[in-house]
Amino acid sequence: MGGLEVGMEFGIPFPGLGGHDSVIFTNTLIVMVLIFVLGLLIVRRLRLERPSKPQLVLEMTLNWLKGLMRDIIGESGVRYLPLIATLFIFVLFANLIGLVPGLVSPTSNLNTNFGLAMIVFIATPYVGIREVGIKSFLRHRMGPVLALAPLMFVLETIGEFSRPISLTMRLFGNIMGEEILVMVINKIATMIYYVPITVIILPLSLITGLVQAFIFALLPTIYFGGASAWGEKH
Amino acid sequence: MLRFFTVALILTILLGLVSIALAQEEESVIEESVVAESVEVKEGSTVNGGDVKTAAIQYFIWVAVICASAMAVAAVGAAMAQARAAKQALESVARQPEASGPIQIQMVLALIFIETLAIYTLVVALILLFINPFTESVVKMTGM
Repeated sequence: MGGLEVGMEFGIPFPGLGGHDSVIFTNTLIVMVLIFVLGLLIVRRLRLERPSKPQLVLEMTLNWLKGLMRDIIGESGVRYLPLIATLFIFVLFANLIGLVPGLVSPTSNLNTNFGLAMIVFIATPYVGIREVGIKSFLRHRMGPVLALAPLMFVLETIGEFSRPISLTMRLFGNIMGEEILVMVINKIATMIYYVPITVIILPLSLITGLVQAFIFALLPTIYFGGASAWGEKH
Repeated sequence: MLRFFTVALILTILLGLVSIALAQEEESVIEESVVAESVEVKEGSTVNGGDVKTAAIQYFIWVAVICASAMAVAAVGAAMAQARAAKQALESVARQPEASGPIQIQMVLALIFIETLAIYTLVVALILLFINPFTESVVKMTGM
């Protein structure tokens, strides 16, 4: 699927290539390099006493995510913090980079979101089997009553396959809608004497990006929690 | 370690380039097939007793109208459902303030799932407006 191409005429295509996908590719690369450089800069001067402000922000974010995972999955869930934190940081930066003029959110393309959702889709059974073993994992999928097992198994499998689609569509719809909103407001601004009324909509976009990144970290955590729960616990 | 990262970065870039090249080839193939199947319409032919061009313009008007009304209905439904969820969660927190943490997470979850339904409508509306699969054939039928 090619995806929507609204407002893409301002994006930077990858040198030597054309089209919408190459704009998304360039912006994904920009996000990657940005996260890499920021991470290197923060990690280079880690201190135990009098930590710098970026270090504090990073530690607060990671501790908050860690507490969330401990609440939902349990004590062993902290093991999967790298995956969830990576998803959160990447989606956050990818959402917010669309607010910079000339750049486009990589998450406003279906392909990026589907790739991220497929990571979660593959990781969920892996986490379940690793936490409780393949036997308990399958037994949990079959429901409490043995007579209903065929029905429950099919239902659970359908639910499992609908998750990546809903993850993809949610992020795509939110970010694409927000970008179209900014574009339409910009067009209105050019009609009425170039008043910068985009300023009104930018805080809203900021909150949307942050909340969507949080949701994209929270939902995999809950999927992992559901996959690793079994027996009396669930 | 640094060498590993460099190799991984180069591999990622190569994979991305290959995917873009493949996507472009696929697009050109699709376009050719669409051109081959395009419908030939004679000058002055009619649809439902009206001109073909009028019918095409009416089609686009109806698409816009339906997208806007679908979004309005979805927004009303999602707003009412979210209001109920938030109201109930706030009441629970007021009754039992020490349980505000789990209640908050559950409320955010419920709000997400309600909002997703409205977002599905938004996606359908965006597809109908911007990458409508029937646009090309309708435009070709008018001969413009």
